[in-house]
Amino acid sequence: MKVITGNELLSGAVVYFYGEDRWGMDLQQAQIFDDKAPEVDEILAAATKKDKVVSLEAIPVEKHDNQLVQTNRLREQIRANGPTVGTYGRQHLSEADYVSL
Amino acid sequence: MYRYDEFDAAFVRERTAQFSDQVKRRVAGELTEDQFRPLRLMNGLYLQLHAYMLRVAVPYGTLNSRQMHKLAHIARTYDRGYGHFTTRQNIQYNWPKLQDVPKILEELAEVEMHAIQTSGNCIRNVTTDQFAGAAHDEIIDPRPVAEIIRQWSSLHPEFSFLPRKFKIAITGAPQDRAAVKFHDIGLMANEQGGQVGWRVFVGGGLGRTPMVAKEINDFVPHEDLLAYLEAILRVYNLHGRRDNKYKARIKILVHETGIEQIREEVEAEFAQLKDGVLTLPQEELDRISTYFAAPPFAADAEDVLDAERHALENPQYAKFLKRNLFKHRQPGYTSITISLKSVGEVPGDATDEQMDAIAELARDYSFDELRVSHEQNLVLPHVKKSDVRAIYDRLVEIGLAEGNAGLISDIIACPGLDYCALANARSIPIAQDIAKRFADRENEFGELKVKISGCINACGHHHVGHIGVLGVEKKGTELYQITVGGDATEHASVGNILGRGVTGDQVPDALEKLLDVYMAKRENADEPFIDAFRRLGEAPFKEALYG
Repeated sequence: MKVITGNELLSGAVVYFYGEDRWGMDLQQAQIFDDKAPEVDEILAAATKKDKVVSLEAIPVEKHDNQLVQTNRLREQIRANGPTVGTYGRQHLSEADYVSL
Repeated sequence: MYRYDEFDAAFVRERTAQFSDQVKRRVAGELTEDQFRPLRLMNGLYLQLHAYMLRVAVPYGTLNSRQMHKLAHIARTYDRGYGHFTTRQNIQYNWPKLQDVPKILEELAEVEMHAIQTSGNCIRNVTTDQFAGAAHDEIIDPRPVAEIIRQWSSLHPEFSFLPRKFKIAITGAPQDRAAVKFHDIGLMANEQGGQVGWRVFVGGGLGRTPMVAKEINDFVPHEDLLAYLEAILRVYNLHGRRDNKYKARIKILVHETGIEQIREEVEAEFAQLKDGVLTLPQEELDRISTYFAAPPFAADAEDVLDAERHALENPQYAKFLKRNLFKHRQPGYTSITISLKSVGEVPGDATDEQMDAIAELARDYSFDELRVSHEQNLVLPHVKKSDVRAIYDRLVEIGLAEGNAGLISDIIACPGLDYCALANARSIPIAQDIAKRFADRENEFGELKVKISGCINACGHHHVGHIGVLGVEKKGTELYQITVGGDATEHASVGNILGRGVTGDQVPDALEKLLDVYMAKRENADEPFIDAFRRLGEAPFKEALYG
């Protein structure tokens, strides 16, 4: 299974593709695709063209107990939750008054 | 300190206006990300895991209080109330928003700062000894020459698109505190026949192929230095590999071509350039040097620190006196290292309040001067010994009085996977765990440089740690390779990998085993870890770690 993720242009915040051209910060709301779903490439191409989310990629995920969990990539866990040190949390779309999505 | 002239000020203003326009065009959709990326990188703006990261240049690590107050203001106003001082003597902000960056650059320009050439395949910020102009062992203050190199290299049209980034470090003292032999070009002051010039080293570097620079010339006079540097850059620009970014640094060119042939080509190029427009007139060197003239030291400053009494009264202060003071050239004065490595904190981070307080200390006690060290600490370079206690007391109040300079908890660590898009593993928690584990014993170990990188790019300089820690990812797990025997000083060496990686929670245990060997086998308490390692070889350390 995969979800599509990237960084929102203005804030740089980590966002996930929710479906139907919607993006947001909650991994649990991300649209899940089969590993070989052909529309992933189409969505990535369309998002690249729209150019409001950058550093686009499809990342593997697993689902347990109706919750999304990341694969074993710590990088994605840190992207989803913020640094493991300090109390800074994540960058939030709402911190910028000018969300580009 | 150098002050911008009209040209500098106009140049930085224009660049800020250009970038402001580029951001507007990007937001309006007139520039694609592919078009915008190289433009933002030329202005120090990266996109990391969580947000943009802005790297601000601190030329040769020198700041005044006004500039430090501005850095604090930016942290408070546009970021999350802190900044991260780096091994390139710069500062990074981890959370700026794209549309705030032009405003940040405008604010920086107000205090003669910018973010130009902190990224990209150009000549980066020149780094130097954090005690430049203050150190007791200095042959010459390297900052005037560093400033001249800055001016020569800023937007140099021929060298704005090099095969890869290019880093120059310079030291005016025989004891190398600037890691010059691990830079693309390293310069060390040299005295010959009563004249001071520069030993030139070329082809050093860290990253996936660590190399100690080779000496290409043992004496280049001041007036010829720019022509000689230009000759090296021309040879590199012509022959450096552009087909493979991992082989594009000058160290690979020097290694594959051989220093003799490189020297021959550089000398041929230099012969063309010598006595031309790049010749540095003595009057210009003198003019720039006036900006770095020694401050008006008090001739009658008391040359006493009563360390023994303090050791009885306040062991923490005694430790601070022992570790964080560096011998000054002027009797009655000292340089103070402000450690940004308080145990349990993030190496190199300072809050806006701490930055403001340090700026005030610089203004009140150090002729308005501050330095950033490549070891991610700050320095008050010119302090009266009689003022040390007052400074220490203020540092206690702001939580930066750790007397650990050069000890095991004074760790260089890159941001690692907590922030960096390139990293494979975390660095900061490893540094914190090591510092906590050994905080009570660190005096026993004496001088011990631990350096941690979260990937092979080696921003945490692990190759040159007496003990280095390199984070890698294997099957989704963070593992850490331990190296021993690295040294960034004039006795430069690259550490040896001892064996397979260990998990993060095993790193402090692994270090403890290495330190047990050192403590058991050192000749006496005065033999530093690195000397013991060189005498003993890696075998006993490897045996302790892996059996």
